Amino acid sequence: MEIGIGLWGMQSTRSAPLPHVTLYRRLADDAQHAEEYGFPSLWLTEHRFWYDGYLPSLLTAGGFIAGATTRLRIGTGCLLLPQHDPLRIAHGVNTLDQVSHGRLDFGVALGYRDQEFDGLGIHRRHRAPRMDHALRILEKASRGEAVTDNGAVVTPLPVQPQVPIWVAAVGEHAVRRAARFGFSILLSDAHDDRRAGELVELYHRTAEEHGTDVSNARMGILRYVWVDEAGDAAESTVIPRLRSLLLEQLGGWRYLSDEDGVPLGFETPEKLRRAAEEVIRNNAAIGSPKTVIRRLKNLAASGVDFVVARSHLISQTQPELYRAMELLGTEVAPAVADAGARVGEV
Amino acid sequence: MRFGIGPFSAEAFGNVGWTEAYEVMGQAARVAEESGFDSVWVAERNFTDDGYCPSAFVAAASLAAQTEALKIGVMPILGLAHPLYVAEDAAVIDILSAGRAIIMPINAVAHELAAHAIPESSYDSRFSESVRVLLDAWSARPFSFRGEHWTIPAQLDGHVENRSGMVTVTPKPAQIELPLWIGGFWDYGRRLAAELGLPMVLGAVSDNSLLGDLWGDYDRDAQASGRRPLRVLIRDVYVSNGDDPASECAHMLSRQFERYDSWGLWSGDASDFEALARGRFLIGNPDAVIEQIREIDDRCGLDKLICRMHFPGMPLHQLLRSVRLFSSEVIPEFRMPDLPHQIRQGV
Repeated sequence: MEIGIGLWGMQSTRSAPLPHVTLYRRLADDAQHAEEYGFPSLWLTEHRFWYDGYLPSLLTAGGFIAGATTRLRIGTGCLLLPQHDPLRIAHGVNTLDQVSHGRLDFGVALGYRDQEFDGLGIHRRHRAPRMDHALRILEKASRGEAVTDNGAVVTPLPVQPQVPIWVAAVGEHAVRRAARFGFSILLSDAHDDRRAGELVELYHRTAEEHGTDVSNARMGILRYVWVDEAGDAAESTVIPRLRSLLLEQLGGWRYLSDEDGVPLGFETPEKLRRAAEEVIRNNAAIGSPKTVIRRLKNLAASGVDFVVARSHLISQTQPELYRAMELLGTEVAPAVADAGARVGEV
Repeated sequence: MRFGIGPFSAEAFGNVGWTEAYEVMGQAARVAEESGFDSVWVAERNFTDDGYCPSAFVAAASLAAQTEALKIGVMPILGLAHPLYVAEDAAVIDILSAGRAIIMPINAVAHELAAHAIPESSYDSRFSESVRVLLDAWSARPFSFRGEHWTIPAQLDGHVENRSGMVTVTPKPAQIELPLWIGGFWDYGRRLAAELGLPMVLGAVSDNSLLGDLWGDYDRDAQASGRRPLRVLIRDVYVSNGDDPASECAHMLSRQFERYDSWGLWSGDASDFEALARGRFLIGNPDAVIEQIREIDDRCGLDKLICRMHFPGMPLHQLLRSVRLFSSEVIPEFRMPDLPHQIRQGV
């Protein structure tokens, strides 16, 4: 199992209203530290028209990280592809892969806020066909094939023969679609380990049914992760922060869903609080290195082979973050590197 | 006078591949930062044979990470996709460069419009609407926009969230007024810049004899503002102490203008290098280039000269030699007024 570090959304929140210039200066520092601690990748996240200045331009921010680092891969986790112009994104993807010497991990998600689609004149109900259309264009753009009816070809080509594509998968439909194409998946932090295992199994079953080669596909998941030498210190520092993040940042966006996939938002505060507590209790890995290693090994046993560890929780200081990142990168990551086995290799 | 370097465009040519072309851009920017330049520029074109940078924001963002003081000039094509994408990218690059961005939108060319299935007849109004949307989107206030091409927010049936009829584009640029300069490479762009009172930049394709008239027209249309407009000019520049500097770069520049010709940005015979050079290039040993700049400056009063010094196929060492010579011998003449003769001579 590999551990990437996440998620940077460059938010200046109500509880931590730092200047955006400061946040982006820290992004360069954070990326250099991530590289130093041995993380293979750092992941960005996208939203737009939001009060906290959430990052809407992942590829531009990716170019900045590329210029600040030399080995670290740059993950978009995730770019809301149906909200974009596919030709514009294809140009950006190929350019970023060149600028970074082949360090792009391109993660995409559908997006779910009406307001974001509406501001751009796109109907939310068109998001699934727009996603498929854009993914087809990206595939052609990466191979130098014509992307328009009149035969236009995107140049430059990317450095990587195939820029890895990751699809955010919250429900079974998305998992099955990713499996048919052979894309890697990024499961949600709203999935507990058991559910993650079911979805990984569904992915492989679907790929087999369609005869898709998924030997290069990664089974990724988002997890809130915080490591401290002392387990109780980890909990007391981070759980209140995580709770406030889940309630302030995610609740308003109907990010959390109940077991039936029904979104929970500010309109149902009781359910929202309960869902947030479940994420904290079941879907996070918080504590001493030993505790976090144990939790990640459990996750690996369910077939997940990549974790985007969400240690960046907005309100922590940089020294706190770097200490947690260092322990995660140098003590936890090596201990779980061999954990788990991909389904099919078992 | 201020000096910029660029626009860079990272084409592959000869032995130089794309990845290396982006490295050259970064190295040149770092050298320029320590040599008296105060801005670096990246342009974009889509769907070219040689991979001309198609995403200026992405490339410019990497330059922002590699420099600390240079202004970061971005020349995105406007009017192809939704203008809010450009508005967002511009705000983000201004923040990640700590307020160093200058945005200079440029016009799409025929093959780009065709690929996006946009009729040429609608392009001017798409460009104009896009510029207005940028200004609204960067303001600190919520806004709505209703134009011929774009309605923001669209308020489509079935969207329930936020029925206020307004949008706030976030994050906001770091600068209170993000500089917006219009690439004056075609008639309509120049007129629009004048109408909106925005700085207008004349490009490498406008030859010296036209500069006075083009700026004269602009001033006449823009005079309502009562301010002296910025005079910004892009020129192709090559400096060398060799016996015949032109022969060291002529093939690269001719090739560049053949491409402008094929894109419809310029028309003429690019193989007649002398005719091409006479009107618009700044080429020679330092003294000759100083004299050429002085001639334009005396006539037009330049505020900023953006020097395109890298051409596809130019080896890095040749580029850096030209940049360093220009920096040490030419820039001080204009950037440092009344430079004492003794200091110039290195006493």
